[in-house]
Amino acid sequence: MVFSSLRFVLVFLPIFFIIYYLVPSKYRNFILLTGSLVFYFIGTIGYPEHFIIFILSMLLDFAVGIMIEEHPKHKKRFLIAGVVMHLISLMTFKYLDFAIGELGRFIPAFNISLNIVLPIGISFYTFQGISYIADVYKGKVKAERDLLRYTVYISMFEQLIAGPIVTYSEVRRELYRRKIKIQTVKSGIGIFIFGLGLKVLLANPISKLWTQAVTIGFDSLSTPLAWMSIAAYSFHIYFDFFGYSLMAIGLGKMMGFNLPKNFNHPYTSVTMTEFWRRWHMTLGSWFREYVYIPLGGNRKGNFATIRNLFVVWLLTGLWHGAGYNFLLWGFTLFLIIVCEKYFLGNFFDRNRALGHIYMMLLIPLSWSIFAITDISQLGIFLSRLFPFFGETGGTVYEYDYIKYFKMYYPFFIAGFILSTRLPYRQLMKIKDKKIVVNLLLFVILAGSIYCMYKGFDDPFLYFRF
Amino acid sequence: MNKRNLYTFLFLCASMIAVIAFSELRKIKTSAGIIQDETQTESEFHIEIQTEQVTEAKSETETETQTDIQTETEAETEAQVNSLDIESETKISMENTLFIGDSRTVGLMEYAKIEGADFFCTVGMNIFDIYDEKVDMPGIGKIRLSELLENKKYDRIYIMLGINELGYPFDQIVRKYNKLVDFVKEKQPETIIFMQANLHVTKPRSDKDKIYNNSNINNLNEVIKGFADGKRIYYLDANTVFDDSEGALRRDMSSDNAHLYARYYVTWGRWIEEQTAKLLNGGE
Repeated sequence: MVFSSLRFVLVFLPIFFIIYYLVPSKYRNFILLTGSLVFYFIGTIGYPEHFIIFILSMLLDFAVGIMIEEHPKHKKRFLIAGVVMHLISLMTFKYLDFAIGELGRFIPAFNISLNIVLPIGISFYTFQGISYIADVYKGKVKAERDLLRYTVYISMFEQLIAGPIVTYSEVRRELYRRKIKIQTVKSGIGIFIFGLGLKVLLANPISKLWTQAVTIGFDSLSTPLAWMSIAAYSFHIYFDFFGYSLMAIGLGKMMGFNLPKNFNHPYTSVTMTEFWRRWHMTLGSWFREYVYIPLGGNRKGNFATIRNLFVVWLLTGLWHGAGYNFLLWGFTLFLIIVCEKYFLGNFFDRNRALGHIYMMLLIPLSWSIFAITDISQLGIFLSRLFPFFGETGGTVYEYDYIKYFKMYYPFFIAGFILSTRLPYRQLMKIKDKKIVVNLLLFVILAGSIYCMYKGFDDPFLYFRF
Repeated sequence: MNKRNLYTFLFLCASMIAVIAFSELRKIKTSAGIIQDETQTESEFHIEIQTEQVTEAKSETETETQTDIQTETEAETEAQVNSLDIESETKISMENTLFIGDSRTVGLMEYAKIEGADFFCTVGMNIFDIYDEKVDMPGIGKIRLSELLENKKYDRIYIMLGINELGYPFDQIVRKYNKLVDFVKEKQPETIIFMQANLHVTKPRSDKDKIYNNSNINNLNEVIKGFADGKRIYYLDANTVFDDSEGALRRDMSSDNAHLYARYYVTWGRWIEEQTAKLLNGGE
């Protein structure tokens, strides 16, 4: 179930929270588990095997955690077994089709399409499971002996589908006991509504510009339109994901959980290194904690550091999707970060204005590798961004960027402003002016519900030709 | 295992059984035609949507490498475009012509470089709203269709509408179409009218969509064809240029399964000019 859908906001949430708040606190974990299973079931309708795999995955980690603690002599074997099973499952669902497809180019026997459907949330719950058994292995946490508590940790619906990637220690206390305070619930509702607004009122509409550029065909874009469309994509991916994370955090608060922040104004960064400390922070932490540091981090000399960075960034690319462009994207980020670490030093930290210009180029350029799965199409697109390197032939509508600018400029303005710290500082200032805040939230909520009702955000609905 | 864990475990097992049972029931109902299988994988996480697109794109390229249609028909279109360049005698002036239509006509306007023509079109234009809609036309300003037709006489008028109406009752569409053609004939008695067929959608789209599929589009096009009298009203079917062997829009010509890539509007524009010349000059 999509968070930004009427079904979720107007049906699922009210029913869930009414029950959740009414029952005595000792039943809340059970209600949360039930609600989350219903949520996941609806999300996997048509693919019951995905539901099964999900449950089995949780049972596996629960068992492995206990085994590691009960049999410390063999704990390494249990850890490896658990991690390997997760990786096999992830690789099968995410990469097998792609791998076979690629083999099929050379070996006719493999020229089949398996049409494997990716179970939703698998990238997230798998990583959470691995983080748990790794933490138990390291002795960082005690294995959870209560199955209900463990399954609530993995399955709680607000973070199941799109993160943040929550480590067990971050929510352990609340899994045992959580206080529901009115103030926190109100704050949670506000954060949820704000996140919903970012997704429905900003991310979804502005994404249509990128879709339009794809429909036109990259070879037929004017250079200004090409830049505009990748800027639109950059705003789309940020506010979509940021909005989603806020909705998760807001819902968590409403339930009594304190979920970690996932975004910290990433577009204000002056280096790519800084960017990745502000973007999808829980993923960065996961790779640092469970890949980079175990490999030695930056403590074993330059060569090992570079090798470790290479592994982390390639895996990061791969985690995002099965395709050469994702590998290329990860590799590009690796190159940029190594250059910044070893050659640029803190140049941009000291010259922040230049740093902003530097990032204003790198952000859309790196997203273009991410967004365009076909490498030859990427080449065409880059030649539109930088027309002096490629042919400028082809059909272009010379006023295209004017037409689309007129349509989308409010979203660009909103996107720029909301990428800075400004609006958030303002919000903090007026936090206590209840009437203003409530009015603002009401407008955002009403606007979002209207847009969802009209189907403006429905990717399957192409309502006008 | 303690009691709590046992209960939780049983609960999880029960939920798995319930899910499987539900899914079997659903399969039975679907195969019995009781419910439509509207399974849409709602992967709201954009990255997983990306992966699904990759999977989709992968299977598409696989079928194409298997059959090698792509290289053949691409060469055909190339040849077609080239042949349009060669036949310079059939070039015809597009001055004093008007194109009326929806987003496909907007595409022609922006990309086909049809010199001298006027365009009365918007994305979403349809035969129900066409009389009320004010369109901002370059050199003319915001104007309704009736005002336009009363104040400027055109030698030829090209009409392409219908796709946005497909969700409505068919007889209503037919009646409205009749009304429009009569309207244009009445306002501009001397004009020659070219009715354009609605373009097909790709096969994957056609197979999935209950409304916007090629069967419905073909039905509508048949009606439109019926307006042609060979004297003052002609019928143009560009599907002959863009169709694959199964009568659907070629998959390599569109990214969204419904709209052509901009570069093909050029092909379309030249084809319209060529066809017009052929029909009016007696097919030299």
